[in-house]
Amino acid sequence: MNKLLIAFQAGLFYIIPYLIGWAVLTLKNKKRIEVEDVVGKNQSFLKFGERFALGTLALFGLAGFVRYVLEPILTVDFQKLYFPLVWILTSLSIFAILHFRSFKGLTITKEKIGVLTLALALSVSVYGFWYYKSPYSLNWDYYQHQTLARLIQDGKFDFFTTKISDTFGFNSYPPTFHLLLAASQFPAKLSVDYVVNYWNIIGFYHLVLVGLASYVLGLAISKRKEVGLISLIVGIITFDSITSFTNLFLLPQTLAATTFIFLLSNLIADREEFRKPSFLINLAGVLFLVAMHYLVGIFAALILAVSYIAIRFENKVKLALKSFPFVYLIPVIVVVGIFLSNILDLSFLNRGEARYYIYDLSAKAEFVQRIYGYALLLFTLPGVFFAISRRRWEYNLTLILLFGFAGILYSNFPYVMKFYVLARFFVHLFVALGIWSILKHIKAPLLRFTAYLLTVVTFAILLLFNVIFWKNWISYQDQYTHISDYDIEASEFLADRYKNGEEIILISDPATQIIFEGLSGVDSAGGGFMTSENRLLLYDGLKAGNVSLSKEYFEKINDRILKNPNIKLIALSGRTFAWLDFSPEDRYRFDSNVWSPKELSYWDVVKLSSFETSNDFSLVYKSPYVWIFELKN
Amino acid sequence: MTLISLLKKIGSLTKDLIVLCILVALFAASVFGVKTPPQKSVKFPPYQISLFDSGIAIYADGRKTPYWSISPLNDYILTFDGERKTLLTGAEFNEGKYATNLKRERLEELQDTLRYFQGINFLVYEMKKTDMEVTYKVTKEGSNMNVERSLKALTPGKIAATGITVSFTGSDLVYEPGSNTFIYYQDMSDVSNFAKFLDAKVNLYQGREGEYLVTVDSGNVVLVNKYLPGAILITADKDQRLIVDTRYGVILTEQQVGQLGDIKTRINLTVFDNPEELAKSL
Repeated sequence: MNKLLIAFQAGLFYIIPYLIGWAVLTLKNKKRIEVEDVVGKNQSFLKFGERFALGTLALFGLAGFVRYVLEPILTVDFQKLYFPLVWILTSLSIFAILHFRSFKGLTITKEKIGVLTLALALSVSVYGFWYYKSPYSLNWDYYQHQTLARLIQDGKFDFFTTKISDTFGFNSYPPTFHLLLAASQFPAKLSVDYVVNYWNIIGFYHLVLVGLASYVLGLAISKRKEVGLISLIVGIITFDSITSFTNLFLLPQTLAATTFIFLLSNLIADREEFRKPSFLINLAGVLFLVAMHYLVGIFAALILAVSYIAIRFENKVKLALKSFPFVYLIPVIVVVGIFLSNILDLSFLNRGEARYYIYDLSAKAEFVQRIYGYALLLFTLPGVFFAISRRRWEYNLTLILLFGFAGILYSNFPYVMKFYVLARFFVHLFVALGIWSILKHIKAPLLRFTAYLLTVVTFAILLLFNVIFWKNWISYQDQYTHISDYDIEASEFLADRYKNGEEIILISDPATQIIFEGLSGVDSAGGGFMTSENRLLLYDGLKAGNVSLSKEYFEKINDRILKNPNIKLIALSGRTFAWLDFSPEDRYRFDSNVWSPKELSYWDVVKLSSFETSNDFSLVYKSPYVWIFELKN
Repeated sequence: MTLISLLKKIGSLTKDLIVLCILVALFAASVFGVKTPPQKSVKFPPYQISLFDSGIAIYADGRKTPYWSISPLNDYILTFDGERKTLLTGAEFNEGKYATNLKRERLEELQDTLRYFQGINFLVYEMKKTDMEVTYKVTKEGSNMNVERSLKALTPGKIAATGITVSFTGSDLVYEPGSNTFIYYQDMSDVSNFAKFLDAKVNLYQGREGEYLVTVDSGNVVLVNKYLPGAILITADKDQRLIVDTRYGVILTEQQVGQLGDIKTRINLTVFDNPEELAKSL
C-alpha cells in the first residue's frame, strides 16, 4: 500500500476522535467555543485534549452500544456495523463543524505557525536520528496492540482485553486505544508491510503531540511563550529511556499522559482567564484517562479531578482547608509512604514479577544520568527556586505535583518508574524554567537566539548518548533492531499461507510469538505473556530426547482463547534457542526476552533437521533464522 | 550616539555575554555527565569485536558461548635458547603489572562512543609493561579482519620467532578446509553432525600419540562453534607457519624474526555465513 495512504490512516488515529469530539462541543455550545478562540489566542493547541478525549469516549461508547445492543438485535457482526458507523459519525462531525461553527474568531497567528514548525522540525530531526540504523519501529509493545486492533477489526470486541486475546496476560486497560487503532486502519488489509509502516509513522505523530503538550503546559503555567518553547524543545528531544518511553513510543499510557497534560493545561488556562471550568469536559477527561490506562490513567484522572474541584470550588476548598487542617498531613503521609516502601516487601505482587521493577536509589540515579547527564541536577533546582519566587498558584500546583512525583519515584515500591510517563512533563517544565531563569537575562536578540540554539544542541547531544546506550543491547548485523528482514519474510509467509481464517495457534518462544502474531495475525499461544505452563512445555519439548516426545509436549501447549485449533504450528528460531539458554528464572519472566534477532547455529539446525525428517512434523518454511513446522495429526 | 549610551550598550552586551557563558558552562557540564555504554563493539556479522583488558575478543552477542581472543596472554616469543614466553603472563595480568590504552579520558570516551555507533573499521589495543610494548591494529574490511601486531622489546636480539594466536575452546571445531580434515574436535559425533553442513567427505587428522602441535601446510584453517552460526577462515601469510595447538586451544601463525626493532606480525580472519560459502571462496 502507498506509504502516503498509510500515513493518512495513521493520522486518522487522532483525527477521527478529534473531529467527533470537536463536533460534540460545537453542538453543545457554539458561543462558548468562539469566545475561547478569541480569548485563548496562542493557546489553541489546548483544545486537543478535550476534543480528543470526548471523541474517544464517543467511539468507545459506540463500540459498547454496537456490541451489546445493536449486534444482538440486528444479528449482524460487530465489524460490519461498527466501522461503517464510525465513518458515518466522522462525516456527520465534519458536517456539524462546518455548518454550525463560526470560524470568525479563529486566528492563525505567527506564533502558532512558529510553534508548529519548530515542533515538526525538531520531531523530524529526533525521529530521523532515532531511526538511523533502526529500520523497524523499536516500540516492542506495538505487536500486542496491533494483535488486539486486528482482532477488533475482525469483530472480536470485548470490554476485557484478556477475553479478546491471550497475548494480554492481564487487564491493564479496556481496549480503548485499540479501538482507535482499528478505526483508523479500517478497511485496509493489514499486511505485514502495512503494519510495519503504520507503526513507523504513527510514532512520529505522537512525538509532535508530546512536544505540543509540553509547550501548552509551559505556556499555561508561566504565561510566557519562551518557557513554552524551551519546554517543547526539552519535551521532544528528551527520551525517558527507562520504563516510561514517553516521547518515542505510542502506547496507551503515553497517550493517556500526553492527553492529560493538554487537559490539565486547559483547566489551568480556564482559571487564569476567569472562565468557569466545564464539568462535561473535565468529566470526559477523567473518564477518558481511566479508559486509557488503569494505573497511569487513574492516577492522572485523580490529579485532574482534584485540580478541577480545587479550581471550580476554590473558595469552598479554601474554607474546607481552614476547617479541616489535617489535609496538610498529606506531605507527612507521603514521607511515611516513602519510609514504608523500604519496610514493606511488595515484591510478591503480580506473581512475584514486581521484584524486577524495584530499583534502588543508585540505579535510579544512573537512569537519570543516562537520560539527562547532569542537566536535571543543574537546571531543575534553579527552576524550582524560580517557581517558588513567583508566588503564584499555578506554580504552587506544579511544585506540589513535582514534589509528589519525586516522592513516589524516590520510594521503593515496585512499578513506581511507570509514573515517570506523567512526571516527565513536570520535570521538563522545571528544567525549562531553570534554563529560562538564566536565559531571560540575555537581552541581545542574537545572543538570546544563540542560547536557544545551544539548548537544542545540548539536549540533542544528551539524546545522542542516551540512544546509543539504549540501542547497544539490540545490536544485530549492521542494525539496532528488535526484528530482522527474516522476521518480516516469515510473517509474510504466515499471513499469506493461513489467510483463509483457519483456526491456528503458533507456538514459539515468547518473543518470536509476539512478533509473528503482531505482524502476521496468526494467533499464538499467549504471545509475550505465554503462561508458565506453556513455557515449561516448550522447554521440555525442545530438550526432549526424541522427536515424538517433543511432539507430545508441544501438543499439550494450549491457547486460553482458541481451545481446539485445526492447525498447530511450531516456529523455532535462533531466538528460541537463545531463550533456551536463559536461566530458569529468566525463562519465566515476562520482561525477559531475546530482544534482538538471533540466527540459527549449527546445532540448532541439527536439532531442526531431526524434526524435518520425522513423521510427526511437516516443514512448511525455512530460513537461516527460523524453521516453521506443522504438527501432524 | 553619546558616549554614555555606547558604554551602556557595551555594558549590557558584556552582561549578556557573561550570562551566555554561564549557560554554556552549565550545558557543557550537563553533557559531561552522560553515561556511555559499558561495552562498545565493532560489528563483524554474525559476530562482534571488542577490546578488553586482556586483548581483542570476537564473540556472538546474546548466545552463551565462549569468545575467541587475540591476546598477549596467548601470544608468545621464542628465544634462541628455545624458550617460549607469553607476552603477558597470567601472574602479570592478575597483579595488574601492565597498562593498556583502554583507560580513556572523558572526552575521548565520548568520541569513541560516537565512532563505535557510527561504525568503525579500525581498532587499536596497546599493552605496555616494563620490558615490552605491544600494539594490535585491527583493520576490518567487509568480512575480512586483519590484525597486525607490533612488538617492541627492550632486548629484541634475543627473539628468534614470534607467534600471534586465536584461542578456541571445547565447543569449537577446527578443520583444514581444502581437505576437510578435522584437527580439533571433542566428540566424533560433532564431526559427523558438522559434516552435513560441508556436503563433502570429511577426514580426521591422524596424529602421533602425545602430539598436540599440528602444522597446517596449506596455511588455511577454519574455526567454527557448534552453538553459533558462521565460520571463520584463518589464513597465514607466505612467510608464516600455521599451527593448531590442540592442548592450549590456540591457532597460531608463527614467523621468524628478520630484523631488529619493531617486530611486526599479522593474522588474517575472514567471516562467512556458512561453510558452503567458505568452500566456494577457496
